Amino acid sequence: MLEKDINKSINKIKDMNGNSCDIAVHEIILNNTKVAYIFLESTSSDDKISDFLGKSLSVDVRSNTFNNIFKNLKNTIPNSKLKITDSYEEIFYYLSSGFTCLFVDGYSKCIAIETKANLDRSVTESSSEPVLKGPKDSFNENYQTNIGLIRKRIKDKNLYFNEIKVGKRTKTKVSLAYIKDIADEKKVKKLLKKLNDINIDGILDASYLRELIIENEPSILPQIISTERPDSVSMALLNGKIALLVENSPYVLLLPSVLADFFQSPEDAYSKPFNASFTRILRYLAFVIAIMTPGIYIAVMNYNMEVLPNLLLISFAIQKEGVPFPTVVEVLIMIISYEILREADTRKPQVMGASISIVGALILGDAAVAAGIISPIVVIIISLSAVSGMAFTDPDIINAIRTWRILFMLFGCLLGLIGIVMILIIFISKLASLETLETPYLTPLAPLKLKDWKQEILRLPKNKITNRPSYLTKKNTTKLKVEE
Amino acid sequence: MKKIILLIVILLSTGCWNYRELNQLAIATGFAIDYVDDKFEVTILISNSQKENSSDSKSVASSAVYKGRGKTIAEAIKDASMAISKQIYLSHIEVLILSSEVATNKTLETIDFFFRYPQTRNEFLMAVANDCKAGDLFEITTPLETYPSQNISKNIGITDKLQAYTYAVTFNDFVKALLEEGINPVIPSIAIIGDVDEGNKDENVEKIKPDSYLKLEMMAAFNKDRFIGFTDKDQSKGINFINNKVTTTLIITDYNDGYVVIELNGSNTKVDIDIENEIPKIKIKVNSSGTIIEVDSHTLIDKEQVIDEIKTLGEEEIKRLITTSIDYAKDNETDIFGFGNMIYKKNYKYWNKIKDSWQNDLFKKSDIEIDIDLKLKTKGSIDSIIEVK
Repeated sequence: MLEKDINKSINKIKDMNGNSCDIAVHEIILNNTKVAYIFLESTSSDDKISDFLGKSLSVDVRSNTFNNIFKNLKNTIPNSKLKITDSYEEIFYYLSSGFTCLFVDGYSKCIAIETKANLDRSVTESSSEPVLKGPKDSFNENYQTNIGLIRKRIKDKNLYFNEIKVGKRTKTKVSLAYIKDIADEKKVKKLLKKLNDINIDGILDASYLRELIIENEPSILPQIISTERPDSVSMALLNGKIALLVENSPYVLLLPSVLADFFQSPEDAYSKPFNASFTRILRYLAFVIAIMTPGIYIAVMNYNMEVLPNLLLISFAIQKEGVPFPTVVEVLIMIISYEILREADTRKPQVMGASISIVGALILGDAAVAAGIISPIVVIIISLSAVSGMAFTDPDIINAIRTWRILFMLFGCLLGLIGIVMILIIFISKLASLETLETPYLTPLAPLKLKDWKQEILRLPKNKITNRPSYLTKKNTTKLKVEE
Repeated sequence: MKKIILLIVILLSTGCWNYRELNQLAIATGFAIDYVDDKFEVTILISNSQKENSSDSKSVASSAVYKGRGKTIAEAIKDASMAISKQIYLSHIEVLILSSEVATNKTLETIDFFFRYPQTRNEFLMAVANDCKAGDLFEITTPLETYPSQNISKNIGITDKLQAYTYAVTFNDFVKALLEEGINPVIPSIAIIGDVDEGNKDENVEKIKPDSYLKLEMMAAFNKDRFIGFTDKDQSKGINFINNKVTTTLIITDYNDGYVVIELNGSNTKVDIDIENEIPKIKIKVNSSGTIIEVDSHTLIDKEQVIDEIKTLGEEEIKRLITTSIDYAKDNETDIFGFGNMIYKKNYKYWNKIKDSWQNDLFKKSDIEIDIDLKLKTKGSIDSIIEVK
């Protein structure tokens, strides 16, 4: 509770924060009453403070006489986000959020006025999920902007944003967005309960929640899809999914996610159905190639060369001639150097760009083959596998593919094609064991929901897709009414 | 996760079963068997020898031939491997060539080895060396293909498709024909045209007219496991017709003062056997369609009547081919068409009664009824006769 004495209150607030350098206090005498306002220089905008407070406390206001300064100020300050509070905890939350707190001597309450400095970037083009044709805007770190980007797409009164604060210290706002009459009530409740149960000191990004709300043991493959595209979120909301917006994170989580979601791009919805379906099938193919090629290559080269046609085998054998390492080592050298290259490429400052690609392409590709360390076919296999892995946007799935690729290689080099089949069984059973919010990870493949294939696996023309995916929602399922 | 780790540990402790590196293998693509001085002489064509070892990543593969001798085929292979620094790898054999001696006396031994040996797959092609040593066939370099084995197998394959003189017989087909009741195998044969020693040289590839080359010859007929002889061209064609292996072939007929050539572009043969009477009656029905592709005659072929005449001539020609091949089989007392097998499938009790005397009695006496239906679809691009005026 605030003190009635204004000096005591202000000193207490300063003490609470250890007299931090960015706390600024201003005192004014108004009609013989002491009035003070306090704000954090780092998060507040000077312009706004002068705009709102300067005017309200200016000469012409001072010349009037009030009976009740507090009430008067409350009513006259032209700020739409005006709050009244009396707890130190809340005051500090407001100060950190860029509010200015106004104290009047003799009152144990304070007025908080929004004077936030603009610390956010503007809405820019999506960098991690680019599309050729379609909306280009993407979320940024501003929570309200993010909500706004969704609101302006879905102007339905049933679009709910339920907000809770997560993180004892960061007090991060997390908003649960769903369309009330589409989304599954049970899932919403379950998710809310989960979020409320989280007792963590801080949430800095949406990815924190990604790990905290899953039910299974942590798996290698990402179980919750995250996107920075408002159009993807809106599409998901319309299909009955729940979106999680986290303050200060440009990524929005979509729940429940299934494996098929990772094979979809918002661009699919904007391009021609046949082309989009073809691209999706390509992505599935790329997934299989990315995971299995090095493993199968090793298995075939070391155990099951019978499966190769004559000329191919001879061609492989000739290329292998003179290479001093076993095939596994060769593949491992290539995979590890490729992964290092990729990691370096992601982390390096942009000015150093060209050197890495030159070194990578020249040394790993050409020189290694010419020096006889690696057979050319291995370069082809690893490049094929790596390029296929790049067909996905989510770095988590790219890295998950890498892990499984190495597991496939391990089994392939120990047991040949039998090993590949074994690890494939392990892989599929692992996938099948995952679920988020009671939705199996492999839906609509297993459990088989052929009707959902129209939009989840393939992409049929929009006039053929009349219903929302059946695994997401049971109510209000009609998406498109077709006049018979 | 624990289970996965456990599984990996279990796998690690098994060791690497059957682990091989590709550069430790000598990939055999051809295998030839001769019989010299009461010993098998095997010739193994290794195809991944790397003669040009340059830093160029596009290394050129070439072949090397190794020979070994031994009382058994396995022993001969071990003998040959003494000269090879790698492990001989037999899974990818493309062709197996038997010398006529081996084909006559040692077919069963050969089949036993390849059937029992787990490494080989049984889809390689079979051929008999026609009038030369089987091993010599691999020594002839060829300008058209990289490996001699490929030269042979592709030649057999393309002839099968375009000529109908010989057809491709895989090891499996061969063994099937040997082991089944009432059918004997026929396989293609290959001859060397020119001198073996000249053909072995690298220059042979560079010459526009190679000194020596391989040529596919007619079919080799077997009686049970014994090779009995080569057929001639007409008989080979007849065998192709009866066994329904014709896709494209030429039918040459005399017409008026010249000839007319019909190219078949589709043919289907149905064979039925009638065992109601004492003497079996074999009914062969051929349905073919073809085009006239060459005419050397002073007759205009624009009238339906003329085309009908040519059609009848063509039908007679096919009939003649079939009859000569059956006559050949009857003379040699070998049922290479599998008529006996048909009887066996139809009525095995009857077959058990006659099987001992089938080839040298009932088959020889059997009636053959041949019914040919030839359709001439087009008569080529021109109607008129090419004449100097």
